[in-house]
Amino acid sequence: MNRRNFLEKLLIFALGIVSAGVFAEAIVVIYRFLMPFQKRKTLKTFVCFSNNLLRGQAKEASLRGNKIILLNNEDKIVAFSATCPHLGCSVIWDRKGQTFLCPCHMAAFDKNGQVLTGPPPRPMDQYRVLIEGNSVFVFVPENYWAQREV
Amino acid sequence: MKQKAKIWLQDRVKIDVEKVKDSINEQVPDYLKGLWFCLGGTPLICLILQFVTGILLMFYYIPYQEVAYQSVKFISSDVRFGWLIRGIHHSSAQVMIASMFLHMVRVYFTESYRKPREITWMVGVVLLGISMGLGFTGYSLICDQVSYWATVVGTNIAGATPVIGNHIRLFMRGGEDITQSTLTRFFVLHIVILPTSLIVMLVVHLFFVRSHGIHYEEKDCSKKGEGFYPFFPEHVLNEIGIFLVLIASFTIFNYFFPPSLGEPFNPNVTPEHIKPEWYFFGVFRFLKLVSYQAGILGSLFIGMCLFAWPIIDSLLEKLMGCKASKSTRYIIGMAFIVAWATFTAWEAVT
Repeated sequence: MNRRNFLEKLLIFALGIVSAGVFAEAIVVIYRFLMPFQKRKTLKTFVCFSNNLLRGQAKEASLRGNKIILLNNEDKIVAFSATCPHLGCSVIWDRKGQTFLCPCHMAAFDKNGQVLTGPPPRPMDQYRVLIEGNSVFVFVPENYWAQREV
Repeated sequence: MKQKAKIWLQDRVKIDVEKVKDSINEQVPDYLKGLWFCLGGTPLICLILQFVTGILLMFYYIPYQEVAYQSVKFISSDVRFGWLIRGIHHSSAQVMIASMFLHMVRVYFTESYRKPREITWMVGVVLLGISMGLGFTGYSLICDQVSYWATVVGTNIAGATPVIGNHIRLFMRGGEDITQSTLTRFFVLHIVILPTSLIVMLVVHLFFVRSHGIHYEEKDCSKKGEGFYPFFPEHVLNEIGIFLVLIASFTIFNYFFPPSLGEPFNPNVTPEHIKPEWYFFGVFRFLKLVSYQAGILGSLFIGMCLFAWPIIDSLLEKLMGCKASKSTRYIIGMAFIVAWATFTAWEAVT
C-alpha cells in the first residue's frame, strides 16, 4: 500500500467514524425531541369555595387537563386524581356508599383512596390541597396545552 | 454463511445487485471534485434534512390559527431540541434555495443546459419554483405578525396576475380574507402537494441527469490531464463530507442564532417593516419600482425566460452565430445576476 492509498483509506475511515457519530447523535436528538414533554412543576390552582363542599360531598373538576375529585372527608378537604390507577378509566364518587367506584372493572376505593375491591395495583393518586380563607386550591402538574383551555 | 444469506436474499428479492451497481457507478468528470460543481447535490442533502425535520415538526405543530403560533413557540422554547429541529428546517431551506441559485448559475455559465439537456434545465427551474413555493407556504405557517402580513401581501401579489389572478388569490386564501381556511390550505400545500410535486420533478430531473450523463467540459479536463473518476465511492464520499459540514454548520449557527419568532399575528395592526424571505427580496424590490401590473407581468416574463432559456439560447445562436451568441449569453447572464443581486441587497438594507 503506497502513501496515497493509505491516506485515502484513512480519510474514508475518519469520515465513517464522524458519520457514525453524527448518526448516533441524530438518533438521540430525535428520540429526545419526540418523547412527550412533561414539566414537573405544579401550579396552585383555584377549585372552589370550601363552604360549597359539604361534609361527605365530592366535586369533580378538570384543572389544566388533570381530572380531579375533591372530597370533604370529615371536614378535611382532599383531592384525588379521578383517573383509576388500574387502566385509566374515570372513577365516580358514590355518596351513598361513601366509596369511589370505577365502572370499567368494578373497582372500589374507600374515602382515603385505598383499594377495597377490584384489580387496581395501588391506591388513588392524590394532589396537595391548600385552603386560604374560604378558597380551596389544588396543586396540579402544569400541562402546556390544557393550560390554554382553562 | 455469508454466501448462504446472499442466496437466501437473492431468491426473495429479485434485484440484480451487479446491474444496480453498474447503473449507480457512473463515471464522473474530474472537475466535479471542485465544490463549485457539487452544488447539484447540496439541494438534495438539504431536501433530505427538510423532510426529516419537517416530519418531526409535524409531531408538535398544530395547523389551527388560534394555537399555531403557540405550537411553534412551544417547539422553539419547551420541546427538547425543538430549537435545533426548527433551526435546521429553517436553515436548510435557506441553503437549499441558495445552492439551487448557485447551481443554476454554474449550469448557465458552463452551458450545461444546451442540447440534449434542455429538459433537465426546465425541470430544474420548476424545482426552484416549487422550492420557493415551499418557502413561502412554510413561512406563513408560523402565524406571527410578519408571516401573517407576508401572506396578505404575497396572496395579493399572486392575485394581481392578469386574467387568473383573482382565482389564484381566492384559491390560496380559501376565501376573501386570511382565515383558518388559508392556514389549512397552506398547510396542505406545504406538507403534501408541494413536497410530492418536488419529489416527482426531482426524480424526472435526476433521470435526465443520469440518462445524459454529467456535462463533460473537455477544456477543463484536458488541463488536469485526467478524465473521469467513479461516482461510487469517490463522489458519494464528497457528498457525505458536504453533508457533515452542513449539519455541523446548521447546529452551530442555530445554537448561537436560533430561529426567531415575532409577536402573535394581529389582523388589525400592520407592522412597520414587512419583508418576505431573502430569496423574494429581488422581486419584492422590483414590484416597488414599477407599477403593480408591470411588476407582475415583468416577473412572470423573467420567470418564463428563465424556464425557456435553452430554446431562447438556441434561437440566439441561429440568429447571431456561435461567437456573438456566446458573448450575448454571457452579458445577459451577468446583467441578470447583477440586477437581481442589486435588488436583493437594496431591499435588504432598506
